[in-house]
Amino acid sequence: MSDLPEPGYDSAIAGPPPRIHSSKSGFKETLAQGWEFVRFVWKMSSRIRSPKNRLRFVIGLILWKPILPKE
Amino acid sequence: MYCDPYQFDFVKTLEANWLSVRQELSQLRDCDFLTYPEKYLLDGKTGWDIYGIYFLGVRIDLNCEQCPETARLVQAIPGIITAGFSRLAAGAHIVPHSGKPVGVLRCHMGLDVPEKCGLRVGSEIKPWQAGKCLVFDDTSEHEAWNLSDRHRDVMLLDFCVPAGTQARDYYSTAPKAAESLESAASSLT
Repeated sequence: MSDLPEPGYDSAIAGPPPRIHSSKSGFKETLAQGWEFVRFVWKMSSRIRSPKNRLRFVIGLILWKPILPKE
Repeated sequence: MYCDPYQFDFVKTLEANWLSVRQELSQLRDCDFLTYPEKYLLDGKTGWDIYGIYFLGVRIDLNCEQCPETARLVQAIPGIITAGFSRLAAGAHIVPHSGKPVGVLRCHMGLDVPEKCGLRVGSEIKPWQAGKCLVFDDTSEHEAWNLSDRHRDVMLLDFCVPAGTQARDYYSTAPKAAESLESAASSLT
């Protein structure tokens, strides 16, 4: 999470805050990202009753959202 | 690019019922939300949680039962793809990114919006307002931040643009202005 800016910072006028953390991710982080994705799919699909819809959800998610980021 | 939200009929209905939606949101526990998995979109890799009502056209049954009024409103939206609550934690910053071109527009309706929050789409920055919708093209570069000391909640919707049209047909400023100038010029000649 970003550090909170100094009091008095008005986001609507000043625009977005600067990026603080590096965008680079190593192999471990990439792997962790993939695992997070699997956990997300599992948890969300467990809230769907019909097995057919669950399958649709999983396939849709795989086709629409790649597991690993492109950057 | 932002779009004029009132081009879409469902926006008025949503805004008219925003208090019911917020009421259902307020009954949810933190553990009902899921951490959004694309953590690389977050500066600091944390702070974005979601609660799905519809996801990629699939109804999330148990969540719809927990929020029946919200589910009813969502089901009535033509071309609905994804709907749910999006929670941005205090201090969280979703870094600039663009969605994939899939012919959908995104709508955010503010539900619980502290100060020092904003959404940049292209070069335009807007704050969310409780009970008001913002509609934008997710394929334009955008970023969001919450620099307050509490979370920000919005209702997030992805919906298909009507058949035979494209997302850019709904942009609110430059293209329409250019179009009206063009038609004014042609009527003079």
